[in-house]
Parts: sequence; structure tokens; C-alpha cells
Amino acid sequence: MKHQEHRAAALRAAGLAVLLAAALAGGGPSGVKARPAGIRVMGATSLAPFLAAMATRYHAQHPEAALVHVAAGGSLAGLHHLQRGAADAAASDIPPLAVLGGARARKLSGRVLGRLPVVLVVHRGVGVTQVSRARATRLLTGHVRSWQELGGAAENVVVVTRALGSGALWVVEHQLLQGAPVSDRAVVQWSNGAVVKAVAATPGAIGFVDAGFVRPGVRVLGLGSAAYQARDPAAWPLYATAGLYWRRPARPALAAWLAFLAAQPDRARFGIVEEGTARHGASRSTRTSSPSHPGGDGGRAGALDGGAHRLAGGGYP
Amino acid sequence: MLWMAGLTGWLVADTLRLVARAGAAPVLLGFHFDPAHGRFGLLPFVWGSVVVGVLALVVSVPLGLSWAVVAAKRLPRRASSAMTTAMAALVAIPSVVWGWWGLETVVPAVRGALGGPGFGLVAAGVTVAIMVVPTVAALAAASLRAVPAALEDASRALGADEDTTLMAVTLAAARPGITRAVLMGEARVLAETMAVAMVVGGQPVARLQIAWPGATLTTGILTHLAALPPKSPGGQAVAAMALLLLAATTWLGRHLRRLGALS
Amino acid sequence: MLYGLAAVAMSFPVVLVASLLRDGAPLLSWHFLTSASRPLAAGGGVGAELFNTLYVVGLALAASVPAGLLVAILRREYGWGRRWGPSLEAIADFGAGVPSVVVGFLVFVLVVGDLGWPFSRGAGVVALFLLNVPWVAASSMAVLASVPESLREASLALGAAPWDTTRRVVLPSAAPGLVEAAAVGAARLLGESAALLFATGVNAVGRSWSFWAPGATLAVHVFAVRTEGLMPDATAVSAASALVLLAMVVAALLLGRVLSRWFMRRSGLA
Repeated sequence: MKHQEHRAAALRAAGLAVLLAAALAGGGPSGVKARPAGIRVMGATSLAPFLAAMATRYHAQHPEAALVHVAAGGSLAGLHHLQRGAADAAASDIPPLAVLGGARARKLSGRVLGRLPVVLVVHRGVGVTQVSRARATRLLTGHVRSWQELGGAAENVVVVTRALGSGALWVVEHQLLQGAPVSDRAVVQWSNGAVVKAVAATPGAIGFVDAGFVRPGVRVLGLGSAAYQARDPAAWPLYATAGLYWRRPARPALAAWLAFLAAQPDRARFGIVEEGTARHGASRSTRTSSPSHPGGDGGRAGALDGGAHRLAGGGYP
Repeated sequence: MLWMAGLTGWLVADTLRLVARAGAAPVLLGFHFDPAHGRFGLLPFVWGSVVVGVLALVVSVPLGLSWAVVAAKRLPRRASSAMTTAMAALVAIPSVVWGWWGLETVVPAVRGALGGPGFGLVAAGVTVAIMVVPTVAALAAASLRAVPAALEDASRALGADEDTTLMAVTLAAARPGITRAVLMGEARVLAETMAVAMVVGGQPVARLQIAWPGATLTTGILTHLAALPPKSPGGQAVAAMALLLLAATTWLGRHLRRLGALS
Repeated sequence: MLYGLAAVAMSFPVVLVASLLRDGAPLLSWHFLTSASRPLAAGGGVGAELFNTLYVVGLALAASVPAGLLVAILRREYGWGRRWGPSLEAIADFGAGVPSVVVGFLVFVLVVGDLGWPFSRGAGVVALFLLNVPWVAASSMAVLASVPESLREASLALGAAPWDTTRRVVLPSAAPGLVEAAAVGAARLLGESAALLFATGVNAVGRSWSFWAPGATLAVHVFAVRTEGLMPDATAVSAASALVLLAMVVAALLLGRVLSRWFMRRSGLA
């Protein structure tokens, strides 16, 4: 008899504690309202500092507006998440067509934020300052073993690359390597900052980063006849087209945030270069299904577009 | 507690789906993990975790135990107590910070000693080994302190010097606790993600040159969990990595409990 | 030999903390602790991240400590594990060692993906709750097991019910150990980043009490600033944030020790 009584008391206590835990974990304590319609943005790590800063600024200037939630994880992650409905917007340096295929990509709208120039960076001691596209390809694919082969120092080549899902890696694979794989002895790093750090510290290292993340300690390599100039980044031939994508139609809260973003003048300070010259520098709203890719002007965009179509059939896994 | 049963079920189901799609041998024994080209070999991650685990054991045990002995047995009472508090705080240095330290210190050291790029399984093993030294030391010191002073006094009274007393009496008496400390450190090594990710080189290829870039189960999960969508073969491969990792840490946990019961 | 190895072992963490102090200490100030972070300029702070850390870790502890303790009591004092198929201890073994990245994976796929929660404090609380419950359960079981059986027998022999025995006899004498275990749990959660990277997101906002606000904690901030930070003083900011984190860890451990002593004195054990 008594035994059962105690078991009942223990069960009551158990039930109470489970309820308490569920209330705390599930969002039930007083003062916590139902989940509001926040804006969930996921995508490129290279765009995360910009988006996080804009989220803070938006909240400071419009405390009544929807909160903006930013997570990094890579361009691929952002697009997949958007497609599943688990994000409201994806920040990507990879065109959605290349990842999701035509039918799904056509359901998305996008706005070009600008260009992210992708530059080759090397350790200061390699003794080479300029390479042709063909040589850059042979370096990154692991076919050049020593910098001496290119007239540089007697250092072994160490390739530093990015993990699957990185927009910078996608740009290098599609605009420079033309489908050849990066060396399978390469050091794989998780972010732009880690690539710069690794290249700066490793003799003979070569890697690639979004230009905004170049730090003292590494040297930017000239590519073909082009030399990267911080004053005129738009002239650099290797770049990602950074875009923000969403499912149509945009909710009013999302539309309001996009309008706010378009009005912010200091994108360039986050390494995002405006398209073309100041004359048509404002960001344009565009559908990803339109025949010309948001990449914009002339022949350079052609390479990007070609890559997108080539991948449209199979796409990423 | 139910969530863990659910988690296991989900992971097992996803792993089975992957094996059904890609075949058991290519998944379990494949030397390459390259989802873009349909290769889902998990061997690189298993191999990486094993190498890092063994290296960490070899490095962390002598360092951790020496520190524990000095802290528990060789220092005056006050200093010993202060050092215990310090150890407990050092245990909680965030692993991200250790990762950066490894990048700046261990990677160049490995490059200097073994050649290659420096980033690799060796650098990862050494970095996490040093990271868990305070953990091993703190737990081992606690069990050393629990050895009755009467035992050691008896040894000294029989004419044994300090070192003999230490090896034959103190360490022997504290053995279950010390094994427990070492296994706890090892569990932390296997579960560590951020510190390993920064120095391991991240290359999902299984090769015998352990000074070269590799990957572990934890870094495999971290780099692929967002990039490979769930329900795709890639996402299922991430679930399989999580399952393998859980199996390893559970096995360690079992041993820990058995030791706990013994002591 | 012994002293040499010990000195080497000690030198690594000490040098590490020293380098954090060198890089970060000049930045530490009331301003740093309370003001918002600056993405592009030097002189920002970690106010929002610090608040998020207290919010997320605090709620996760408030939920997971009672839940874990309850599991331990049911197992140890009421013997539930014997009737249930897989013993609770085995589950606790399994759970105490669940690597945080697996919890991060679970929360990312199920809570953020399937349930559609935003990257927020809420998702972070869930991740840390799942991480901590098995740990609290396992360490509480160990503490309860160290309470002498004779105490329980004496209480039961005097006619006290099992629940009263647990409440008035076992828990008070186990309290010092339980408090210390909870403090170590708090220290573990404070430094956690792998489970949170894809749960809390990487941004934070000030002036909000919402459960759903973006929830980057200090540990996530240390990682994000050091890898992707664009501010000129990124190294100093991340070192100073790590120092703040370390100070919180030390404070949690000391608080645990003080409370544990207090419980000991109260129950006349010391």
C-alpha cells in the first residue's frame, strides 16, 4: 500500500519536473511570446560579417521590425536550407541554378549584392608574383611540386583550399580550373580567415580567398595580365557574384529588410564590390531564371553562366 | 532521455539507407569521401579519429600524470589546493582558443620536424593531447589525493625512497582512478571538434602519411552537416559518421562505468 | 624527470592564458563588456554576446539540472532502471559522452530544419539542454551512489517514506557534490561552440529579452571574429572575449565551491 503511494508521489514529481523542463526548453515561461516572424538568413561565410552587421543596424534603427537571424555554413547550405523552407533568404556566391537545377531555381528571386573578387594568395617567400591561368591551374591541382619550376624559391608547393560548399571554391573550380579537381593533398580550411592564416604561416603555400579578407602577411598573386588593385577591384577577372535569394513572393517583412539593405551605402567596406561603375552601381533586383545571369557585363559573365548551365543537369549532391 | 533513443534510431535508419544505396563495402572501406562524385567512403574519418586518439593518449598520459603527481603529492597543502583550482579552470579553456594556439605553435613544429605542410593528423593529435592535459591531471590528482597517507607512510617506514613509494604504492593504489582520468581525457579527444578542425587539414582521404592533411569523424560532421542536405546520400553519410562516433564514445563510457564500480 | 614533465605540462595552458592576456587585457573595460560589437571599426564590445551567453546557458542549466537530477533519483533511489529494458545507466554512459557536434547536427536538422525555428537563443537553449541532461544525470548518479547506504537504511527503519528519505536525508548529504557537479556542467556549457554554431547563428542584437532573438554566445563570437572578423582589432577582440569567457568559467567554479561548502556546513559534514 504504502509503497504504491510513494511511487505515485515520485511520479507526480517526475511529471512536474518534465513539464517545467519542457516549458523552459520549449518556450513556455511567462514573457516569452509565440515565435515571431523573424527573417532567417543562411549562407556564405564571406557574407556573414556584412549580414550580421546589417542585422544589428536594422534592429537598432527599426526596433519594431522583424529580427534578422544570420547563420554561416556556406553558400550550398544556404540554398538547400532556403529550398527546404528552413530559411527565408539564402546568401550565396553560387548561382542557384548550379545547385538546385532549373525547375527549383526558377521559383526563386534574387538580388545581386555585388561582386566578391576571389584572389590567389601566396606565402611571402615563394619568389613568384605573377602566374598565367594555366600555371595557376597546375599549381592548385598539385601538378607543380616546387616553386623552383616557376622560377621561384626552393620551396615545396602547399595548396590551401576550402571545404565543399564554399563559394570561393566554386568560383575557382569553375572559372579557373575548368573542372579539374584541387589537389587531394591540399590543406582544407573552414573559412577565409583560416586560409589567410594558414598561407601566411606556411612556407610555399598558395590559397585563394575573397579579396576583403586579405591581410598583411600574405602576397596577392597576379593572374595572367591582371594585377589585383584594391582601388579598382572591379577590374579583377576572378570573382563570385554575391546574391541574396528568396522564394516568391517575398513576405512584407522580408521585402522591408531587402529595401533597407539596398539603401546601405557601405557594402564595399565588407569586401563586396559594386557591379560596374558608379553610374549603374545600384543593386538590381532580378530573377535567376532570366536568360542573362545576374553576373552582368559581357564576356566575364559568360563563363559564369556557362558553368551554371553545365552543372544544371546533375548539380551538386 | 528519450531523445537519445530517437537520435540513435534516426542515425541507424539513415546509415542503412546510405548502405542500401551505395553498398556496404564502398561506404565502410572506401578510401575517399567525395560526395560530388558519388564516393562515400567513411574510412578516412575513422582512420583519422583512431590516429588522433592514439597520438593524444601517448602525449597526454605522461604529461597529465606528472602534473597530477606534483600537484597532489609533492606540493605543500596550500599550494596543492590552489593548483587544483587552477587546473579546474584550465580544463574549461574554450577549445576554439586551443585550436588557434595549435595553428600558431603545433603546426609549425610538426612542419619543422616531419616536413609536409604541418597541417595533418599529427598536428591534430598533439593539439588535442595538450588540450586535455589539464583534464587528465585534475582527475588523476583527485584520485591520488584519495590514497591513504598511511599506505605511503608504511612504504617509507620500510625504507622505500620517494620514487619507489610513488611507483609501487601510490600509483598502484590509485590505478582505477587514473585509468578513469585517462579514459575521460580520451573521450574528450574523440568528441573534440573545433580545435581539431583548425589544424587537421580537413582532407577526407585515408592515407598512411599521418603528418599530412586528414579528417576525423567530428570534423567530417562539422564541415558537411550544413553543406549536404538531409535525405540526400551526403546527408545520410553525415548521419553514419555521427553513429560511428556515438558508438566509440559509448564504448568508452561503458568502460568508465565499469572502472567506477571497481574503485 | 617528474618535475620536468610536470613543468612542460603546466607551461602550455599557462603560456596560452598569458598570450590571451597580452592580446586581450588592454581591451578589457566596462565599455567592452557593455557596448555593441563593431563589425568594421576598432573599439567595439561584446555586450550582446555576453547577455546571450548568460541567457542561453542560464536557461539551459535551469532546465537540464532538475531534469538530470530527476533521472538520477529515479534510477538510484527508486531503482527504475531494473524494470526498464535498457538500463538508465547505459543510456547515461551513452549520453554523457555524446559529442557536442552530434547534438549540433541533431538540432540543425530537426529543430532549425524541420521545425523551422530561427537561429536563436531558443535553439541554443535546446542544444545545450540536450548536451547537459545526460551529463548531469551521470554525475548525479555518481554523487548519489557515494551517499552511505546506512543513512538511507536508518531513515527507512525509522519509518520515513522513500520520498521523505530522498528529500530529507539523501539530497542534503549529496547537495555539496551535486552543486559542484552543476558548476562543472555550467563551465562546460559556457565554452561550447560546436553545438551552437548552427543553432544560435552568428549574430546578436542588444535590447531584447526575446527567446527568439539571434543568440550568438561569447564562444561562438570568439570563433567568428577570429576567423571572419573584419575589424582591425579582431585578434584583440577575440582574445578579450576569450578572457571574459574564462573569467565566467572561474566564477562558476568558485561559486559552485562556495555553495558546496555552505551546504556542507549546513548539514554538519564539515
